[in-house]
Amino acid sequence: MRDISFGQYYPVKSFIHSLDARIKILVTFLFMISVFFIVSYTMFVFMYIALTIVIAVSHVPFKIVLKSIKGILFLLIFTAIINIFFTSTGNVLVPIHIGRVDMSITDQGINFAIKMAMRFTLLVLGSSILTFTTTPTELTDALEFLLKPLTYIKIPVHDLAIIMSIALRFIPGLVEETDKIMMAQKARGADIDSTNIFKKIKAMLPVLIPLFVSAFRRADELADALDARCYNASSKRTKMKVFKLRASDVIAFIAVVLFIVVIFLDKYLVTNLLVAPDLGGFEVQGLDICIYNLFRLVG
Amino acid sequence: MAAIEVKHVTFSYNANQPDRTDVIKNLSLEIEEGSFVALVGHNGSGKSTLAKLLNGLLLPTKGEVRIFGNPTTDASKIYDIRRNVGMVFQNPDNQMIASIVEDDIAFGPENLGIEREEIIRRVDWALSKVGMLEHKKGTPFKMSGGQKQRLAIAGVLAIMPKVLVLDESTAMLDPQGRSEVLKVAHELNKEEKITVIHITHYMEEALGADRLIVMNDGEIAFDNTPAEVFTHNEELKKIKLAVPWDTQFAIALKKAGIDVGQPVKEEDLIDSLCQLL
Amino acid sequence: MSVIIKNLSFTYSKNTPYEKKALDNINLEINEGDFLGIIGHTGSGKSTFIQHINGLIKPQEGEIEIFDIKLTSAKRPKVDLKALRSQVGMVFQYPEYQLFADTVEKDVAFGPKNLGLSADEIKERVKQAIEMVGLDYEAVKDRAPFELSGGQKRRVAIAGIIAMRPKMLILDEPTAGLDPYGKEQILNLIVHLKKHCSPTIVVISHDIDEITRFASRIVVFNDAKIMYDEPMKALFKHSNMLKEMGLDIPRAVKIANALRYKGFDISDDVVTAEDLLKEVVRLYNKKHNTAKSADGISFDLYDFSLKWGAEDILTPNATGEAQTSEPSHSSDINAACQDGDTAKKQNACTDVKDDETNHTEKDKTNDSRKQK
Repeated sequence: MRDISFGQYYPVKSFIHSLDARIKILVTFLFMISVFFIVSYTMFVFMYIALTIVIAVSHVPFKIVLKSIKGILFLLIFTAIINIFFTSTGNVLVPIHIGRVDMSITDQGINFAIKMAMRFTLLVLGSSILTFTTTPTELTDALEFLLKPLTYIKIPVHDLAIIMSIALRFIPGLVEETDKIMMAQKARGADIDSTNIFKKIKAMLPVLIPLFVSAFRRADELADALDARCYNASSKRTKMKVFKLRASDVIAFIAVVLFIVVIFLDKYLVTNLLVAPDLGGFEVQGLDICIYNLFRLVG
Repeated sequence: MAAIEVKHVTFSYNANQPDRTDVIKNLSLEIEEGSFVALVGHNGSGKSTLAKLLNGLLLPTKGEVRIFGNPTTDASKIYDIRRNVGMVFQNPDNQMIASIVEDDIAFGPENLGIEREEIIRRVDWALSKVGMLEHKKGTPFKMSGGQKQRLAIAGVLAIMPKVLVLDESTAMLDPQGRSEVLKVAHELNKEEKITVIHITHYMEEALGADRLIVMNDGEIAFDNTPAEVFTHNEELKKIKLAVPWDTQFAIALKKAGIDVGQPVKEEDLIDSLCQLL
Repeated sequence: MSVIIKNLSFTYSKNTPYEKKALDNINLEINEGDFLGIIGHTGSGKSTFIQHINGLIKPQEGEIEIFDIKLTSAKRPKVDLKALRSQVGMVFQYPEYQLFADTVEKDVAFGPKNLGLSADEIKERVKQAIEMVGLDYEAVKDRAPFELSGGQKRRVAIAGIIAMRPKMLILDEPTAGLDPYGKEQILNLIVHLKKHCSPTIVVISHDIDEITRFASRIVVFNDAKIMYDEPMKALFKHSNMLKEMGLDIPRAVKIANALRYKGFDISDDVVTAEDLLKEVVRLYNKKHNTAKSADGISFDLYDFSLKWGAEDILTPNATGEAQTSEPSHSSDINAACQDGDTAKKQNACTDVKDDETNHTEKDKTNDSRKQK
């Protein structure tokens, strides 16, 4: 028998794993928005230190968390190139002119590129901590709870949640089935591993047809099973599981909110209170100004 | 009172077509409350169709099915019928809707709008009845077929049915899984007085039943105690069924000229062999 | 020697929390002509093992040699997996779930087509394979597989493998989910295939009573290792250990053990119902001083009159007499199945009814094959 892990859930016990999924979703959501308000390198450093602590507490190996960045590597490089070559403000370091287009590399361009890359990385790391520490089932339940207000505008949140829950329940089975059918057709000499794309598409038919047949058969049986268990019997459906917040959930929530407050303070208060040095277009913001001044005093 | 009354029921999947073929043919049957009935027949004998007629998943083409007095054709009573007749199906993988055991068991009572505390009580009760309480927080993904099928039974038990229909629920299991499921069914029958209708193609699984109904071609071929039905070896063979191994062995011995009577269980056969040898 | 497996190990999801060792230093040889049964509880590694023999899983450690094709963990030299799969036929659990074409004929032709054979050759093989599994070629070839009954679908799926003419056939739980009658048909078919098509057969089964009906040798998997590898008759000396591993022992063995425990002098060789029958009759004769005989009494659940070529071939004998007639299949089919000679195959298909008389010819073909 084959082990199938789907989603990213990493099954260990930790403080982060034990947090309420609703809190985790909420906090991740807030975190992702606030990331776009980080302006100073000092705050980035704080953020990365905080994230490192969270990862350490979650007991998910760093190696595995870092792997999730691989997926956005292309995006990182792409945005960095755009920022470096197409930022015209700041002091020119390397002048490049192609025709009439100014593609000179400026210090501000590099500044933007680094900050953007750091933001993207934070986004990916933050959201993968959520998926590494929360089972898909918990995510579904939590989403159903958080989206409940939508029922007032006639969106069938509960039915959608059942659909999602059934999908999650059946995905591993279908993956396993695909695997089996693929093996069986390979045993009959099918060219599934062929690198030729046309051959490959043709070779997938003997896999896809039985898979569809099987999915429909399953759906049919499942429909009977749902009926037999009185699905839709009562308009007043009840729920066995009620979410109960614990002290740890509240503490985690407050901690993250505090962090976000600091980010906003940094962007709006610190930057405006202190006088930023004029470096000819190269922007120094937030707490970085303090550090800059500190270095100037010492140096 | 009879739990289930089937009166002159005919059923066909293509009722309105000229080439109509009846899967159930003018079949009548009563099942007493509290009994354990085995319903046996080869594939295509109509036994699964009969099962689906018992909780209104299918409705008779002709005739009537009554569950505790309510006809299954009465649409207003359909959920009363379904909460009275719990049904477990063949494939252990296609009956669970949630990925966590307790969530799945709670699904039925949640649909009925039962109070939270009662649901929690029922989930624990149903899981302990099938011997799966320790897997309450687990996922069914790594479980054996027998365990999954016991969970399917628990999921149905949580709606507190008076009748439990096992529709070929042992067909896809290994011998160990089969005996686990059968054991649970017998316990529920004895301890909770639940009427059990066990549909299977293994004659041997009828051994502990009060009554054995053999179906062939949409009709009842035999309806008696298992021991009595097993005496009809030759007729059963003709309708693609086989009597239990031990009975079979006694028949072979008889051909060699040695009479050990008609044992239906292993212990019976061993006892009579001990006396003879 | 058909298959030699040396120090084979395999771990699923290596270096993750889901890591699971499926095979742990397996050594095994499968000989030509073996009728090998593999038992073991779910997750003992037996499925992973047979997938290796078919080249569906690449070995992580150790090596496998199958009809002179060597499989190792090395990336090179590239192994011709198609050649391997045409020699080792693999029938998966519930094989009917893999049917996909709109007609029986097209589905059975899938394997031979993938081997790149000529249209004539494919047609020839398909016809022969469908008849080999006991279906009427003309009656079923244009029908959609899903119109057939469960047992018939399974036989079509098996025909799809037979049509590739493997030298060795592996079947994973071939009777799973069928009713007792359907099971009996498939079991008879397997015995038939062993005689007439694939000289080496490996069967995985949960049902020990089923396996002891035909296997000559049994391998027991437990926790990723081979626990026993014994001739069928010798395996049940280890009854207690097998029970400890959660495995069933045959009914006849259970009864023989019970009788022995009560002091009866029952032979250790009892495995099948026929064995037990003979022993009981022997003891009875000894005690009562009679001369009863168990000869010729078979313990078949059904009395099949095997009419190969008829729509529903394996119909129970209406008279209910205890007799199993040999399938009246031509031994030429054997030759055709193994041999590339087209003329012979033509012969096989026209002369299906011709029986018994061709034994010498069959022997000759066998000899010539050995010389190759």
